[in-house]
Amino acid sequence: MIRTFLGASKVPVRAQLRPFFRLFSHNPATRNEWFGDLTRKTTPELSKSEENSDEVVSNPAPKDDTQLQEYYMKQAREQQIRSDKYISPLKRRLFDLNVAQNGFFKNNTVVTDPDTSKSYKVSLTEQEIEILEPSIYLQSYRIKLSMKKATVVNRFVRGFTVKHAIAQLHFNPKKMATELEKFLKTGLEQAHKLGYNEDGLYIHALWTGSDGEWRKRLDAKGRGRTGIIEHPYIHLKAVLKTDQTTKRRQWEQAQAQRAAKPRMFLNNEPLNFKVRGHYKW
Amino acid sequence: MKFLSLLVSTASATGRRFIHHRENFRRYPKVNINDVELEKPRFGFRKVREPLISQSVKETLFPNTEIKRRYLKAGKPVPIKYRYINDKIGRRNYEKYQEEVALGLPHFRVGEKKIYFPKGRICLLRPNAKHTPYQAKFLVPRNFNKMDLRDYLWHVYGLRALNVTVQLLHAKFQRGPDDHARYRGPQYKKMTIDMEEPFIWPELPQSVVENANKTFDNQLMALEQKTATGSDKLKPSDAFDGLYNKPVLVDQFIPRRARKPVEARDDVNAEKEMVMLHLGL
Repeated sequence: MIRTFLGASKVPVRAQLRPFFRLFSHNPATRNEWFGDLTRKTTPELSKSEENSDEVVSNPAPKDDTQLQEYYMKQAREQQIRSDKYISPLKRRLFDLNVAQNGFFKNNTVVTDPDTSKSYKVSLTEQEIEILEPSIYLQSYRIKLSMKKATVVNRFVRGFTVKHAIAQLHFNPKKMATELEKFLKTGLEQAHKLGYNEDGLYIHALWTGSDGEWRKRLDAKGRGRTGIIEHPYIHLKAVLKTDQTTKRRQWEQAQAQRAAKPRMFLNNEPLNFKVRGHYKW
Repeated sequence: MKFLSLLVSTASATGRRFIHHRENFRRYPKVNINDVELEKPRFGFRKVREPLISQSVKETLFPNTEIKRRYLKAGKPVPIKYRYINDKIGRRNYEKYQEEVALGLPHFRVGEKKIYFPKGRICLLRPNAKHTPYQAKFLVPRNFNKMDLRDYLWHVYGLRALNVTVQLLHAKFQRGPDDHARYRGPQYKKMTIDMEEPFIWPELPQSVVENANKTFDNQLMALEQKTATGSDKLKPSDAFDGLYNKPVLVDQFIPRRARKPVEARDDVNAEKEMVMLHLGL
């Protein structure tokens, strides 16, 4: 209840006491008796939780939170594109044996397993080799550029080793060159992480695509006509492969060359037209 | 010729500035540049009145009596506004106020409507540059009047509002993303009171300010990551010490057509079947 003092009688001013009457001195709020005599006057006591409120409970940083990181890692491994998800372990084993013995994969050759001393003739399809060979699939972030402009630079470095490409792009004044250089450097980092030979790493494929959700603007033209100004956004994707692939392809080319028939420079086929015994003109 | 010189003389006499001939230097005005005062002061040339008698009385709360006396002494008619008993009333009110402060009584006529659980939201605001420490500003409900606030502050906090001024303010214009026009939110009311004792808002602890800034930045970064489009979804974010950063595992390049799990692949199953047939399982 809000108490009022309407009925209080007037008392002469005690001027000498005036300085001692503070702002909140005579008021129900300050005297803590809101409900008059119905309630007991209590002094608020600090509870234990309030006393210890200074202690800060700090959570571990996300980096050090093992439970969180384990969960994230599990998710990441599920999403990762890995060869062991798509190829049988035996094939992987034989492929690795072949590579260990030859330095790269030689298809249709015999390998011996030192553990079991068994011999296998390995013959894999092109697709299986593609899966088994080390490769890195790179994806860029969103880039503010058009596909047309990106492709000019992409064509320049396709097939280069990554290090050579980076060196070339570093001195190329195009905007795309800078973006591509950064992009390839991430590839180099990833190769380092996987323990691949960075010097042999080359750009097997490099392409660009629209990243979607382009911002569009009105292009006001003369004579009441309009156009659309588009702000293109793209991404880059690349497949980097190691010198294992380079060597294998060279070997395969050599094999194919060796197996090819010798080239005849004279036509050894029957004449395929009518041979007349007289001049026609 | 005579006629011409006459013309020239008249032109110089009228002081025309834009003349189309070379003027004779003898006719130039004989003025020293140091004597010319550009930008003359614009004050001091008007008639200055004698100061009013009423202005001579200073540093007193109740000047009317003294002013009146001085006018009478000078033999001048007392201005109408000094003829009344304002001083007497003022002094009486002042004494009454002092008495009430000494007794801890409200210094005003308390409202008669009893409100047991006031639901109005009263916010103490931070002062602007124009406010003194003896002033406090509140955001109040729009249906509040000066007396309401005075009563409220007295009964809830025991605070004496010596003077109350009201500011009824219009809200800012708002403009939604799909609106064709702007519109205003509801008006809001602020009241400024004068107090007996000064109050200065405490400075915010530096840690609180820093924490708030940090949280704001974190939330902004988190929002950026959440609303990212296209390939920017892959971008790592520094929000909350990298809370949302998932570990980046290197992907291998496996064409989409080859991305079938081992168990679902026809060739693997065919091999299995063949072996099982051969072994008679």
